[in-house]
Amino acid sequence: MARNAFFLGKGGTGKTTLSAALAVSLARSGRRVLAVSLDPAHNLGDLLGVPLGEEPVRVEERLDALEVDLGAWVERHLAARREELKATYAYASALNVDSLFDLLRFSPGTEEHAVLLAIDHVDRVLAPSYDVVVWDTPPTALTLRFLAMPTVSSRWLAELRGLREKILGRRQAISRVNPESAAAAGAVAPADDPVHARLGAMRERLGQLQDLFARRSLLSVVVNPDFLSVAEAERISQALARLDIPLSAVCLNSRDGAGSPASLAPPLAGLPLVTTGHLADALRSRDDLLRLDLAPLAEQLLHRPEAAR
Amino acid sequence: MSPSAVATIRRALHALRRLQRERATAVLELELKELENVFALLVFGGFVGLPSPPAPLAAELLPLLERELRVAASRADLAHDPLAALAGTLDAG
Repeated sequence: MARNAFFLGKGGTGKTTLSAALAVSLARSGRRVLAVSLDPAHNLGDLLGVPLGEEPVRVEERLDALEVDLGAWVERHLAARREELKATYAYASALNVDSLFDLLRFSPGTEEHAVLLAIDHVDRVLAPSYDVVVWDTPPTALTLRFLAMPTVSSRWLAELRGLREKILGRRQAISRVNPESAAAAGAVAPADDPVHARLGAMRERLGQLQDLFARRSLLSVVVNPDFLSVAEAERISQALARLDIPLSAVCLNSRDGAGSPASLAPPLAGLPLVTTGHLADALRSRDDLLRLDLAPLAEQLLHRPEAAR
Repeated sequence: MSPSAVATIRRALHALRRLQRERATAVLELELKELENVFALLVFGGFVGLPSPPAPLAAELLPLLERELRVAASRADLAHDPLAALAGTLDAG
């Protein structure tokens, strides 16, 4: 099973550069690597020097990369729901399904749901062909929202499943006493109820993503030696703690390759600090990425106990 | 006793038994409708300002909740006089 590395942090700290550097160094040390950009403002392809798309593109030996098109995932999700809805409510000619879905496109939660669908696809379909998947994340706000979504949604789904079981219990009780009652329709065991089954499938899907983030991934926060990036890293660390997602390292992308951020508060101060150095000159080729020292992070990623799926 | 009289008595007993069954489940049916209404409100509460799960989850459940939506709509119709609806169900007054 592939090991996963996520880079988080304030915009401009060097998440994409470190993602690319880790992916290249692991590939050159013999691992099969997939680099995935989740950032809507993609520049992973620019860094790797290869135009990327939705499908994995060969960058060099053992290294493939792709850029997730969030807009396309939103459209795929809405199209699937639209068809299902039209089939169920075909009689409701007054219900303009298309305009309803135009609204849903901009509903809270849709963008992070699309990110989760993309991650789920990569994790289930593509990742088994690789040893490591390196994820470049979008801006902090969206990253925290998609990392939180499995936890938040699982709580809702647990409540809804409990309520659904009560409903099915009442229907079965009515069916036993008065089988002719209209209310007895749909009196089936939870295993045969489509709504209960759908809730279970959703819980299973989100549970696997929660497991991916909390147990099967190494999450690092990237900082520069400045107050703003450290402050944002602290907020990220606190948000992840509330979600029970462990942060594994702080990467200091420092211009002079030395020194530590002025003040790391306890949650960050207790984490391994990886000082990567900095590309003082412009990046001219992929080889330049190897000047960033990510060996301690690679070591941590490759030697952490592998969590069973 | 003539066959037609027996048939009449049989039909009367059947109707009586059906009436008793309906009475026995009336309160349960009311509770079921409330639960189905609450389920629909929980899933789609976002549309009327209630806390609700993320919209994509509601959209995924929407095609399966035709019955619950009908119940919620009918409960909304009775919302102007809930006491009368309850008294009718309990056969009070």
